[in-house]
Amino acid sequence: MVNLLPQPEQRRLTSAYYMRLATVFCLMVGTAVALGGVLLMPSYLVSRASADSYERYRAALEGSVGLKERAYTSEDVAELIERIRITESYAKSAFTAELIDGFGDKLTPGIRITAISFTRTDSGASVTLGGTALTRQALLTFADALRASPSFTQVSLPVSQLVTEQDATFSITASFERK
Amino acid sequence: MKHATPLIASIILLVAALTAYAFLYIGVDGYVGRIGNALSASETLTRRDAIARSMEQILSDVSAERETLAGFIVGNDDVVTVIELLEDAARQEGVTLSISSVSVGSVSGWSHHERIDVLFSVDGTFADITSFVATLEVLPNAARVESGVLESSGRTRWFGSFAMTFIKEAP
Repeated sequence: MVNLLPQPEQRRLTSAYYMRLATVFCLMVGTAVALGGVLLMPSYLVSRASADSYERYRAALEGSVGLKERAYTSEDVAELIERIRITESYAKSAFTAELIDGFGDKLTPGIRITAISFTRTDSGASVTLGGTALTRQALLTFADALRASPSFTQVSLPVSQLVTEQDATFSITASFERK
Repeated sequence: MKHATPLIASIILLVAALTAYAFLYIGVDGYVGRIGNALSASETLTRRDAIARSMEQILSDVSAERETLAGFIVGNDDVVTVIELLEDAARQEGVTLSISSVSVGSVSGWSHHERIDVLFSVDGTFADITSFVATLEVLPNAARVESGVLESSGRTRWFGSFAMTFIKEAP
């Protein structure tokens, strides 16, 4: 079909057509978006009200007297746990009587103890016994008696202390194990 | 220009609608986030409260045991009682006591308690000194002898130096 309209008129009509098309498109999209907005309005209002309500609830919970008072409870429990742990480690810590009885029973004639030192360990104590032995044999007998005792382990008598035959000064180190 | 007026108006309308929609959408999103945060915080608080309630119950149930335990610990202002305990025990066992130092120190891992370190020396017979040390070990306190040195200082006399620790409440 031949278009008899002049070229400028044809361009004006085409331009007007696209302009109307764009206007209709914008109106339709705008209407759809506005409709969406209207439909979103109840959700907006409800969520705003709910958010305020939940935040008030949280604030009330935070400010509740009971919770504030109970904040000290966990501190008390922590203190109790620590106290139990410490007293447990200090319980049954007596060992000196057992230690002295332990080597006192093993004293053989001719042995005189003149110094005792001890330092607590996890299982008992590390002990050093110092003294004089009338004879070398008495010292060996004493050291053997300690070695034979289940209460003493790692009994050490330096060989150098066995050089003297009589009136030997000695120093025995050992580990004492609590029963 | 006259022909473009409807287009301009529709564009303005579209932009306004988009802005309003974006405002509402972002608003809903923000409020939902706030609700989530408030709910989670409330749940945490409720849980904490429940735990605190149960701990409170436990503490109430073991209050007698707590008092007994507290009796083993030296009070914050009662360091002097430690010295008096040692002096009483020394008098009782007939040894001469000399306290060389009393110090309070913190121990790693302890936040509610401190350790009292006492260094002292005693003079007496071997039997009296060992009896004195044995008495110290059975004191009604969380206390123990850490180390000691006993030396013969005469025919029947002995001299001993000891380190002992007590537990005290932290200030």
